[in-house]
Amino acid sequence: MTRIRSCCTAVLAGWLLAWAAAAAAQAPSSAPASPPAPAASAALTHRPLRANQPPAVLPPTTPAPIADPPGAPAYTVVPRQHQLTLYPCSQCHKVLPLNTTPRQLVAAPHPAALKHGQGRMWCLDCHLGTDRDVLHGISGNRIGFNESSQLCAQCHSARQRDWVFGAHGKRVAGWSGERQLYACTHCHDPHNPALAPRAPSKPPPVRAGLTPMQPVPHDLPPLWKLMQPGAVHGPTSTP
Amino acid sequence: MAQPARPEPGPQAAASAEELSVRARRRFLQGVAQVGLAGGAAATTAGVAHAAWGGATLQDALGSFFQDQYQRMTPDEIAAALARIERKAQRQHGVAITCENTPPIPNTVFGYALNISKCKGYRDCVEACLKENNQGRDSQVQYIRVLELNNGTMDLESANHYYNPQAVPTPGKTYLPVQCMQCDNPPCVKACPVEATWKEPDGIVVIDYDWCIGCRYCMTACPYWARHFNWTKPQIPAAEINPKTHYLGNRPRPQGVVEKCHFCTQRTRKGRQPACQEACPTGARVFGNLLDPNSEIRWILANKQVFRLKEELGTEPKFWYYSDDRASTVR
Repeated sequence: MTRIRSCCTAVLAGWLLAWAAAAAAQAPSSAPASPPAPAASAALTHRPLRANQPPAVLPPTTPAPIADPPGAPAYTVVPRQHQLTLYPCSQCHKVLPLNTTPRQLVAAPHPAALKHGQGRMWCLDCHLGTDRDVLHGISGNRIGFNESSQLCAQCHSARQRDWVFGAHGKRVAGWSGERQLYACTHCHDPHNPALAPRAPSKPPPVRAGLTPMQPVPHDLPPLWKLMQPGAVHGPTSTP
Repeated sequence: MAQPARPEPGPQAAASAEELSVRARRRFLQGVAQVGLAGGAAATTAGVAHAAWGGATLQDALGSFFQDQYQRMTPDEIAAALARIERKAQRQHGVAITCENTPPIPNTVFGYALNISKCKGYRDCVEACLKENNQGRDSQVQYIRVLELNNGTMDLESANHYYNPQAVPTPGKTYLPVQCMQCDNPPCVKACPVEATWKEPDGIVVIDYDWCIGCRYCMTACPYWARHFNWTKPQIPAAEINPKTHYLGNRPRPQGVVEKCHFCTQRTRKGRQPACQEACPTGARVFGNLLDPNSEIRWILANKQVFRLKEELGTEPKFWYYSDDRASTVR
């Protein structure tokens, strides 16, 4: 009995020693691999699901073959990449095999239904299969997520022209000074670009004692018809 | 016994004599106010601020009473008026505000363009304007009215101001926000009998709320329903008061004066966007300098189908509406 107890103690002590040694050996190597991000940005951009820190250096991209229209004023685009919840995509996709066959996706976190293009497109038309951290254009050029407007411009050239000149989209931080524009994806979900209807803010108050003006039917017959004998006076239908 | 005929004082001399006497009287009353203030301060230390005159000190009350029209005030008088406004806000709302009179930016005339293809009637601009410009929460004053029109009509008389469905846009409806058009030929300015409203060099039609007598002639003259009258004392929660104010803009207004959109004078004269532009969730609103040939609004005026509301009246609004092209018609 004593022998068994001493044996168990020795095994336990040996295991503890080994664990402590392994932890000591791991500690210096693991610290630089995942540097602690600033708390504010981490809380803003990422769900605390796992340690998917965005890379400090953006992935290399190539210039777009579609240039801005001539005469376009200078502008900068508000960065968007740091707001992507699941970025970097390679965090998961480096362990997943590349399957280039177009198919229906059902698994989270990706949108199962791709409304954009109404069935004409699928993921790898815009996402680069070999490097998931960037997008790609029609000619195969690499487009970063911060420059995604160049990708949209390949098809929506009329919108891009309006956006560059200021008739579409939105300018941030003042009417004068540096021209900063929101990117397409700030407002439009690239997988479902149409904006969903939503409730309006409250209507204007009506002064006490009064009632809101009833909308006048615009298809009301002219007055001379209403005043003919036998005609029904007043609006034909009250909402 | 005939007196030697004294020379008749000319009209110029009479005017100057009258002006002199007015100035002397004003100086005298201001001196009285200061003496009274000093005496009151000596007698009671705490009772001065809330003694009489609507809670104001005698000096502030008299200063407000003799305050001149904004354009005629000297820089010293304007500074005194701004300080009085800040003290009044502190007294009435318990909020420390800053009131400025930022001058117009040279070589700048402001203009607005609104994309009616993009406006979906969310009324977020109205909400933002309400908060930015310290409008009374219970009064009917809202500088922006979003009109709901039937598709294919521009009949403003049959528009619905009070639409409130579960979700907008409603199919078959168009939305047309209407606010002050900052006309280049403003009929309201001509209608004002006391010159309390005028056009600034940067194109903004402003109101001196302290000079307005509340006759509402300008409201009748305006064809765009842009001017609103404060029938009640504006009620604003103290926590929601915007403390950055402008004399001609969003400073707290009294009851019984007319107010309207002023292109967020307190923001735009410092290079910022108006609050409605910042709030618009669809990017339908474009604000800019009409004199800058490279500005966005100039490109829209040159390249888009634009129209102005009731253009046939000759009021020359500086507020344009435009719509998106069909993709096939783009050059």
